[in-house]
Amino acid sequence: MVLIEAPSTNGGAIYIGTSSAVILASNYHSLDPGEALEICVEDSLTDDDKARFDLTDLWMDGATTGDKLTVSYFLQTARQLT
Amino acid sequence: MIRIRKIKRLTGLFSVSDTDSIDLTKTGTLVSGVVRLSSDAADAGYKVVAIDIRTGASKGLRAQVSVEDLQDAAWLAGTDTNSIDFTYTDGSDQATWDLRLSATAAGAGFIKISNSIISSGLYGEIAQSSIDHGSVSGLTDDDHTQYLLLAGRATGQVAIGGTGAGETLKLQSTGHGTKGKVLLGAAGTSAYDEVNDRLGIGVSAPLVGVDTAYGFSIRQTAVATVGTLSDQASVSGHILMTAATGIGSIADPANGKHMWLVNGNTVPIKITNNAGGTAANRIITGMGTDVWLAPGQSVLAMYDTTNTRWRLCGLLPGLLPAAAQTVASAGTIVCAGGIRQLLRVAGNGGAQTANATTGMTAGTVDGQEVDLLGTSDTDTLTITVAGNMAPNGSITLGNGDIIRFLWDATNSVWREAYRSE
Repeated sequence: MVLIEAPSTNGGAIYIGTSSAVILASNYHSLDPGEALEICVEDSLTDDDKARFDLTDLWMDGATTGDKLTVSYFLQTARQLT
Repeated sequence: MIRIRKIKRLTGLFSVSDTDSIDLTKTGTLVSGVVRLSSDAADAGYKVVAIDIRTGASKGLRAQVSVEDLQDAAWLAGTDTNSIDFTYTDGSDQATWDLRLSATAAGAGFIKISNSIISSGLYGEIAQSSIDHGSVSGLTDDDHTQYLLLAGRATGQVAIGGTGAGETLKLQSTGHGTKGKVLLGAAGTSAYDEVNDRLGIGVSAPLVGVDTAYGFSIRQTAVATVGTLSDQASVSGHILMTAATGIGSIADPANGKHMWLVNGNTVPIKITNNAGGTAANRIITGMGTDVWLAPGQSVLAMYDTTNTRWRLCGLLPGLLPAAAQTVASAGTIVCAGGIRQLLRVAGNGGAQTANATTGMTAGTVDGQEVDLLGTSDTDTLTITVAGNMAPNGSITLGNGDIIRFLWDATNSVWREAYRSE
């Protein structure tokens, strides 16, 4: 799971996209100050499709110089209880 | 599968925004559960939560609430420790906008304000200083028929002073200490002069208690009672005695009361001097004796409240009627009384001479007049200067002869005043 948080002290939006050309008009998503975006890769023992997410595919930019961004990721493992 | 969830900002509620909607949703199955917006319940000073929902194009609260919910939850059950206030306020300050309470859209119902003491109707308290009666429309309408309309009202008006026994209705000229007049009639020619307490009829400035330019009348009442009237009612103040032969007393006396007595009979009516009936109703003739009111004659009686007697005014006493007398030899002429009397006399069975000691019975009052009229040249009657008779000389009364005597009460003698032979 990846958690991207825009601090409430930011002055503008944070844009999130899938390429380096992250601009206002073509961004994948935007976060206003104080908002967060959670991206989860779900896999189950049933389908076990081995889903993966590559952080290098994730690009971010800020509309206001000096704004900050926190990106956290968690490695999630599943184990079948016996 | 990759799931992406956007987490809205929760720390800054005053600037929460979303493309579609911002939802506060209660989940679960507990029926009584509610979604609440409230201030700090523990802080008594900040329990009021203001919900201000508005859009850029249309200000104000835009919500869809069922009518029943609105009535039950917001209006009928509205309670507050001090007061419940409905105030229209808007920054644009539109003077023509109203705050309205309507019972029904058709206007057929009433808006009632009540409490536990006053069970129905509108009970309000308005600052008296804010009420200007002159601002009410229709002030010239005749809406209050319980009040006199000074300009007059169709079919006339009635003014009644009180509603209890003995109460009064007063008309006064002015509330000022210096009084004026109460004018009667449009012309104002009749007046009550409040300064002098006088009444003028046809006279706007009366000079005496009652001053009239048109005279006055005391209505007459006919009394057909036969005989002597005793304690005769004096309500009308003017009685015509058509069958009476005497009156001894007049009832219902009052200070200065006037009573006209008119002889409507064909015979004289005797007015008894201070005798008969109730003492306070008796009449003092002023002659010291009874007087007779001739047929057609009238006299005014006024009540003397000091002496509690009626007194006659302006009376010229009528003659006392008497039957013709025949006087035997040395007989005595009988004077029946009264201030004036005409006696027809003759000798009994021939020429006779009256008694030399008591030629005529003594008079009853000093100055009493008796006219003796002879009725026969055969049966003459001679009166000599003797006893209680003092003519200027003897006289023999034949038919048509007259002699008048006055009673000298000091010497108890009848003295001649006049003769015609």
